[in-house]
Amino acid sequence: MRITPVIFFAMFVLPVQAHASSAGQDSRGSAIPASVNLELAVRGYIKPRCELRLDSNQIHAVLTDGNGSASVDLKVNCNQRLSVSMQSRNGGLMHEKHGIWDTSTGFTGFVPYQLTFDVKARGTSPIVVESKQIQAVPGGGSIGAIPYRADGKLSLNWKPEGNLFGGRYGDVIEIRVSGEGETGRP
Amino acid sequence: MKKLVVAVAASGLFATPAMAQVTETIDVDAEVTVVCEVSDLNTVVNFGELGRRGQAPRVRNGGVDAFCNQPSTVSLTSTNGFLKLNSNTASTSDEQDFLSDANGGLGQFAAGLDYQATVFGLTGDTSDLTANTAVTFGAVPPLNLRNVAIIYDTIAGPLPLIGGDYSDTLLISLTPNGV
Repeated sequence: MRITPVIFFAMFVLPVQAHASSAGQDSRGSAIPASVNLELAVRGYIKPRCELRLDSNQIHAVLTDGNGSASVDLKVNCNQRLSVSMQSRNGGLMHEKHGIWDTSTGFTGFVPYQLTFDVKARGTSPIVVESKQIQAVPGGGSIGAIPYRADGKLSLNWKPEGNLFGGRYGDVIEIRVSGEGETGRP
Repeated sequence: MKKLVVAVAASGLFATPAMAQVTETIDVDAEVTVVCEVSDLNTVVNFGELGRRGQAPRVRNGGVDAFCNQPSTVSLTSTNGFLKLNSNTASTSDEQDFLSDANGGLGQFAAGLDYQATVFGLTGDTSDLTANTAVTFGAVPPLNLRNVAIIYDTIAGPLPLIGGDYSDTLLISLTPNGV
């Protein structure tokens, strides 16, 4: 928060009013009006600030043939309406041999998921995106409220589309939060 | 009346506010347990009565389910390396003949017989095996097979067989290749 401008106004205005209230002549003999009206256009500036803190920067999950989910808790603190942008490096959970191993027998090494950014604060709406849709370009939106020191959760939900290759899968999710600005636009 | 308009601006007041932006990344790591299993496999394969040189109808073990979620290799291990005559005196090699002179007969006989197994499209032959040593017969892609058959067949030899019972124990292994 910037308070410097307010202090500056106080120091500047007071001397002007004291000087202006004295009627008489100046050193050149010009008449000095008895009073002067000062109109001050006062503006201040609070720097937009948004903080995002994840409880962990890693999510580990065990995949089965059925539906699954994983999540990480988070905290946000923002002095503007919060806008969220998320991007997936792989577009889903990708097996390290995806694209190499034979998939003709009905196996897959790719598990797309639904990504939900949810903040527990009044007036907020969860941001829900599909991992496939946020690979090439980020996706997201506004949660619709100003989350002041609010808790939240980032959740992944998936439903495998076929038998899964055994082994390790991975993805990297980038989350960018920002204030929407004065115009309300993210 | 003199109007003095003072516009005081804090630094950057008329500039477009810089968006406070924070970026975090999450590494998502997941794993699927590697599973390779074969079910409904007959534990006994009986060729029945063999022909003079070991000819027999092939034995079909149908209804086998196989699942392996990684590419895998198929290997066979034979206890004897062939179908062996159940005899205390029979040779451990099916190539070893019972000589007629030594046995009071006329001509030569064999005391063992090779056979083969066709597993998930791969055929393994005991003529390539030595006793108790696993031999890899090939690689298969990830398997999700239901109700397939494993075929066993004897390989008729050049010599007639000594009369008696012949047996072997065959171990079929499906081993994931890993990553």
